[in-house]
Amino acid sequence: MYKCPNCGGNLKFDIATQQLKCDYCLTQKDPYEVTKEKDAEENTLFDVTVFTCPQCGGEIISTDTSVAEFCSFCGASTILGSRISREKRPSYIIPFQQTKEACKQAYITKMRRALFAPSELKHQKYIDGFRGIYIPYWTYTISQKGTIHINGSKSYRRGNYLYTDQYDLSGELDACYYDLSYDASSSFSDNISEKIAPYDVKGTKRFTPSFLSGFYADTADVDSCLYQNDAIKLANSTSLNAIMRENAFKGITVTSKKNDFSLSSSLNTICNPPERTLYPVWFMSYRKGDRVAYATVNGQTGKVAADIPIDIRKYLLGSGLLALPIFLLLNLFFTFKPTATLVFSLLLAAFTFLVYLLEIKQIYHRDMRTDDRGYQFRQSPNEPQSKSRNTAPESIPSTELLKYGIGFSGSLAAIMIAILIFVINPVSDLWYYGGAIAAFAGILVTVMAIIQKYNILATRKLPQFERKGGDDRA
Amino acid sequence: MPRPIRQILILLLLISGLCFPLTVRAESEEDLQNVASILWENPETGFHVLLEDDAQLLSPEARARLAEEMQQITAYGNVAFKSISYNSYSASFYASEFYYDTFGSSSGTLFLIDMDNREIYIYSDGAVYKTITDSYANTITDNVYRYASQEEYYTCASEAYQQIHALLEGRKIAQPMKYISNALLALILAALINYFLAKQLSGSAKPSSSEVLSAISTKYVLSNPRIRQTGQSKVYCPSSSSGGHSSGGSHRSGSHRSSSHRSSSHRSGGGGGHRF
Repeated sequence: MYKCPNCGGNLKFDIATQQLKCDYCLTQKDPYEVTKEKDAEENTLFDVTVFTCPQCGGEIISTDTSVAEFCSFCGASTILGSRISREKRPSYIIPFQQTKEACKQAYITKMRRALFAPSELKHQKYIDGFRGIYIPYWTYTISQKGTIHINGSKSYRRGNYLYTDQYDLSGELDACYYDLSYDASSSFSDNISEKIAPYDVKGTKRFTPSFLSGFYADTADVDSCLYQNDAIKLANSTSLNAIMRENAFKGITVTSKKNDFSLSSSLNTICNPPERTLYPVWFMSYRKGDRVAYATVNGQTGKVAADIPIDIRKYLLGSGLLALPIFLLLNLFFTFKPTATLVFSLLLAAFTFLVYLLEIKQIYHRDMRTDDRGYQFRQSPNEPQSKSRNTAPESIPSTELLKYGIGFSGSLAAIMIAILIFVINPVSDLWYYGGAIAAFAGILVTVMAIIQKYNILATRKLPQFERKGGDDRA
Repeated sequence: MPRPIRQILILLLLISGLCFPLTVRAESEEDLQNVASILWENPETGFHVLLEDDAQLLSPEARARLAEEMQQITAYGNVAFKSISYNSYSASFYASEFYYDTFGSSSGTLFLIDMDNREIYIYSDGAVYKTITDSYANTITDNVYRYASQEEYYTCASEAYQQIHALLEGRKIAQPMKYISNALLALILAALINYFLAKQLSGSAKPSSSEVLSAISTKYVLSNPRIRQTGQSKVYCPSSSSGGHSSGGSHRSGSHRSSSHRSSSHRSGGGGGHRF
């Protein structure tokens, strides 16, 4: 902990002033000017790593990747200095810019739009649970310098002939993309970090541990090479687009191979050694049984990404209410015969069936976390990771599809019933109305199945982000 | 005209009158009860009532009653009842052709009972069609088709004309078919729309590449851009012949117009029906 030179209290980083501040005597210090006299001492005799609080001597049980924690006994913010030195010190940090109040406000604004969210997610008690965490990121700087050569072509017609001219496009390129960032924590899901991105790296500062005082922090636990190709790919495509927009090359299309290796070779792309950086995230978890839903707020920009489950009762009520204006609107413009109603029901049931297929594909990938390469890396760190961002297999195994049978059966039954009625071709309207009602019920079963599954996936298995204690005023 | 020729013409007219007794002017109550085809003209508006029960579905009394009920519609346009036992076309085609052959483009409405296709159909044209639209024709036939199913043809037609008259007078009619169909569709659409809405409102969009790039420092300079031609290829590819295609298209178009003219280019009406 950082002691106040005036009263001996705990100095913590104050977001509003961007200084270290003592809660007791309000003394402010520049983060770069203060040093720690005593670190928390590490003891690894047991399965978990235990640190001793330098203030009260209490035990601080830490996760494997934590570098900043809070003492459960005295609440002191403690930097686990040995972790920082051992695990390689971050080079840069973006300090928290958004206060907890601003973060809560951003979350409330977001939740106002989430009409079908469970009410408890909007309770003040829940909202107060935001914790500030510094998440580790790898930042890549990609440079492209030197003479470039790109093949291009231009086609035109002259009489009855189609001409294609081939060109060699060249020039002296000097391009650089600084600090392309990718989260380096396997616990922090890629799909969350992508949603709260981007961070404005122009606000990056040289790292000093005192910035962590008052917050949690983790260290990188995924390999630095994991996202290197993503950064290179982004830089290559951006430069290539810019080159082809040059006046000298107008009207010419690229014929060079557009794969990463070829482009990197053509553009002289070099990836500089990645840097360790810490970015601020406000975190909040909502536990339901053994599942947890996360709400995250970008600690610099205030952008919110949250797992928001759908409350079935609210959804049904909302659907009933929405049906009313749709009904009135249909009455104004349309008179459907019962046969037409059944045809539309059949088409909507088929549409729902297709939507369900697409949804379960997404659900499957998210469930397996196949698109979270940080997680995949931790599961099998020795296996080479795919170079592409999306490593998920395209098709779902048929055994997996059977798990979703109930959802399929709804819209499938609706389709079958509608077709059967058309085959029988009865005179009475009642058959068609009955078929349309069955189609509605089938569609509802399918939609409910999607929502149920979506709700399971909107919450996650408990990872190591479950933080307890700490300073709520942070 | 020479006398023998005039006599032959009168004789032919008399014979044709005996052979085609379907269209006669019904002047008295007795006539109304005895003929299968009734024609009556509203002296004020000049619109006609035509009742042709070729399928013999109505008793003479029912025909007379129905003809009287139909008369009130002549304040707005012609009104016809037609029943047929054989039809090689669809009910809608037959109805439009019959109406056009009988009343031309004049305003009016026709109620057809097609026993061959087991379908009732309402066809309207002119000013009446502006009120008795396709939607209303469908609604009315949906409201009365059960009577036809139960072989209560008089009640079926009578109900249909009452509802037509009610609409022409500006009154409302029951539309259970419309409300049931729309309610079901509204429920299905609401369930689907709400699902996408819930997903949209709950989710957060990933930033685009340009957003990511705007948040970092970048440098891009391309100096001395050069372009050098390295080769050329040409492929023989004649432009698509326009003459032949145009000619064919024009011919088809002309043919289509001609066909359209023969069939129903003057029809401005429409209608709706229901099987029974």
